[in-house]
Amino acid sequence: MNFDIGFIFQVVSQIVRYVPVTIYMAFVSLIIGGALGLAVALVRYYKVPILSQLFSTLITMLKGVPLILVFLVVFLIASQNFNHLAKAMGWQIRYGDLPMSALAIIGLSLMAMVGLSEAFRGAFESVKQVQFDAARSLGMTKMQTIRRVLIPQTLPVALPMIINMLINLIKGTAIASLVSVVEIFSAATQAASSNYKYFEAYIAAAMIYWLMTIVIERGAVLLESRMDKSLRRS
Amino acid sequence: MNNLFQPQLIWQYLPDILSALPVTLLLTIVSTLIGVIVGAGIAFVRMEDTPFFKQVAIVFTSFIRGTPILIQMFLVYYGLPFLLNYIGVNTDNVNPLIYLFITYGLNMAAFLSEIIRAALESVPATQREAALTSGYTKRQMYMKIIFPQAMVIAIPSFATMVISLLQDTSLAFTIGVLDVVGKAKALGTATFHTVEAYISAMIIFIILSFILERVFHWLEKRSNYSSRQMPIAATNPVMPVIEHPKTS
Repeated sequence: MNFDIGFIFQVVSQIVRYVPVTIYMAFVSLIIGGALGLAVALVRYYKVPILSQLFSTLITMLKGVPLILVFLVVFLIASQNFNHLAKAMGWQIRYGDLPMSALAIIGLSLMAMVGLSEAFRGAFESVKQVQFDAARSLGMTKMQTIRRVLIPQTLPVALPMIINMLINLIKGTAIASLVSVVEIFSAATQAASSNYKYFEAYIAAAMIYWLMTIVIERGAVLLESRMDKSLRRS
Repeated sequence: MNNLFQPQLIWQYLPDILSALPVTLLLTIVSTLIGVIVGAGIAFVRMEDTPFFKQVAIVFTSFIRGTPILIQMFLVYYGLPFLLNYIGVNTDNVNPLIYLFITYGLNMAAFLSEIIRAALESVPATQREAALTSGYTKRQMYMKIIFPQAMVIAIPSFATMVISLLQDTSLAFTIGVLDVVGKAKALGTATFHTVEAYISAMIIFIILSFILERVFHWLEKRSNYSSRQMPIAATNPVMPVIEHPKTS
């Protein structure tokens, strides 16, 4: 069997149309996971009783679970129970009609929540205690302090970790293909299944992922330098 | 209907799934060792500015960091026999574990090389100069001055990497290796209680990660204590922990 460079390009042109699916799954998970992560981090930062301990245990546990197991369990539970649930609720929709990417987003969001809640918690520490005293002396409520003092200063600090998480989510979408989500990786497998040129197909898929990561990393560098500038101006 | 969720099965399955634990641990340990050795090589090549090898190292690291480990695994699994057959080596009887060692080992190497480099560079250059002017050879300088301090600095990031490697090994079942997840899958397929089996596997991973985290935490504390007694090391600016939480 000879190495077929032409086939690599052929596969690239076939699977490149799944790039939007991957980016969509990664971005939606980043937003959902980011919102949940921020909430968890705030609860733990302000040491809200009961909830704080609960989240801390939850995060410690989720940190230890590999993404593939989360996917497998989410998909199995959905496939076994969704039809019963839909029937009980009187919905017209069946498991077969569910978009598989939506189920993958559940798993990816959990992963993003775990990573980002730790990132935010670390970034909160960069805000000095005197600022809270200052905010209180100005008569700001707790919510105002969070919105106007804590979060604006946290985001630039957490940005590198948010970008890192985005890249991890994009890589995580490849794992989603193991649970019947059609995206870049499974499209490459599909393309090679007729002629067994798996090596070439996976090279094509690797190139696409690599390119996406490089673009995101370059974009992040630009974004960070702009943020630095705007921070220095203020 | 016998496939209702039965929580007590989670505990019943645990011993069976634990029997596959050595495979997961073996994968983690061997890959970490390969990663440390190759990673140190990459870090060295990049720090010493070796021409050509430095460029290769940069591209390699970027590739590993930019692609999912699942793809890397399949590239090695399909690519290595392809290349070996090309030069006439028969790969029919190769244990799939070998491919996994190579994949996870190289993956670790790329990530660890960054950690090692950052840790080595965090030892102030003045100390190198001081060591060389006091008549240390380069080898002595590394062994006695740089490494002891860099190792302490690298522990937290190293711990993050080992724990994420442990989780990455959960993908080994995709090429037919019976690790913890593979065993859970096999057990679940046989009994139709797959969810319970996977939850069992989850518990094992949670406990393993927790133990690893505690061990590294203890190591970190211990090494901080010993470095506090060395006045030179204690005055070093402490490098911020570089987190590379990666999934796959």
